[in-house]
Amino acid sequence: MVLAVGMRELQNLSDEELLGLVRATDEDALVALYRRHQGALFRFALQMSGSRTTAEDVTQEIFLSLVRGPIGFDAARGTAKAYLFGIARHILRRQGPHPVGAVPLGDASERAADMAASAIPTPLDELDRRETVAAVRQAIAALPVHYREVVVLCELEEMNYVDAAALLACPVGTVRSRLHRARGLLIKKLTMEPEDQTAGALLRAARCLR
Amino acid sequence: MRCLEFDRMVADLDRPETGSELRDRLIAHATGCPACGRRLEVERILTAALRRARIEADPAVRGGVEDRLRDAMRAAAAPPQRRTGRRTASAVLAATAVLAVTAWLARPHDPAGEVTAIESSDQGRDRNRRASPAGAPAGPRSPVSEVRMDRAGDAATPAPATAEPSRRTIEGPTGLAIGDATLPSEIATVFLPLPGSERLGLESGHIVRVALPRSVLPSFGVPTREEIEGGMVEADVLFGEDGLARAIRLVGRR
Repeated sequence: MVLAVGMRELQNLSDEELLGLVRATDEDALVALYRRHQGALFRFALQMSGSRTTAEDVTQEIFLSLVRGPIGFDAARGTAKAYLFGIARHILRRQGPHPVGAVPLGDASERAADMAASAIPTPLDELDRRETVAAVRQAIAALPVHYREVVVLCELEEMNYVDAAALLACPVGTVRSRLHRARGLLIKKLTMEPEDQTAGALLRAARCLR
Repeated sequence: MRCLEFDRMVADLDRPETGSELRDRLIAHATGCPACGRRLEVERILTAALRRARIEADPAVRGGVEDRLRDAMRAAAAPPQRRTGRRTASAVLAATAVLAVTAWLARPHDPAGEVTAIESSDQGRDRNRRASPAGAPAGPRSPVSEVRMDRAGDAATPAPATAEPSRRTIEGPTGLAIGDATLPSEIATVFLPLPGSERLGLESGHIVRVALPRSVLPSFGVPTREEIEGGMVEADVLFGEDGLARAIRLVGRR
């Protein structure tokens, strides 16, 4: 049954309820679901592919796939959010390996908002922070795919282990061990990278205390 | 807590899943163990760097996606009706054509009846001229005509135009020139290829006159005006030797 629910009411519905409405060809529910998750899915695709264009295509394709094919979401197997990330992961894998490259920085408005939220940063602080972010993103992009996935999901998107395990179709212990290993690789990379001047330097400084 | 256990758990220290008890134990161990204390500091620096990377990730997606999603949703709901309409039209055409062929085969044979033979080569044209003397008055012809071509896809030579002025050459579906078989009092459109007919090719075939409901014409790409949508129209269907329809043209009275 198609429910006549306004966009305002749709915002109060859970992801699972929205998916149910999308199954019933409710276009407002589809748009509401898109608005709710497009940012996180775009970031995931961007980190995994290293390409803004690919990330945009993947984000759109996720929601178009909900229109075209049967929606195989099963609440017993994980959350709707994890289901959407699973579609993104499937699309990315179908496209084959992506070249490792620098992930572009965020836009100026986001950085401006972030600066406003912090305590009156100097231009040097801003430069340091951007260098840190660039170094971290490059280090993440250089990780093997199965490590990169857990870092992006569990660290950047703050997904819990249970959802990440459902999405990646592996035990929770595997997610934990992969994340542990991935963090170790990131520390190693950020510490050894000669050109990084912030995150790596901070990590080196911490080790110098020995 | 031992250093090995600390090393295994320290990455989870700031995660929401980690309980306060475990968190306290980890911090207590790091306080008492200088090496693990440094390790904890490194992990926290990495966590802070990852948070910065998360905050500054760009969520902007190109515009117009919402409109495309809405269009896709509407299109997903619409196509079954169109497909059903096309299937119905094809079925009506096929049934009508079968009836027309059956009626033609069942009619009394008239050896004197004219069956226009059209060949694409010059030789065929000459032969055709001999079969139909120039200047002979054009009598009423059978609605069934025969079409022959040298090779599928070749542009055939126009049919003999000497018999009567009303005979016209009609461009066929794939660039084929098919001799007009209409009566002098008739006019006809070009042959419109039917879906999938391009794959079949056409060596030779027959044209069969049929009557079709006007409502099926849009299925063949023939526009109709809504105010005259009802009723029947006459059409010629071009069949290959395999019995499959290749193209259709509409026929009207002058």
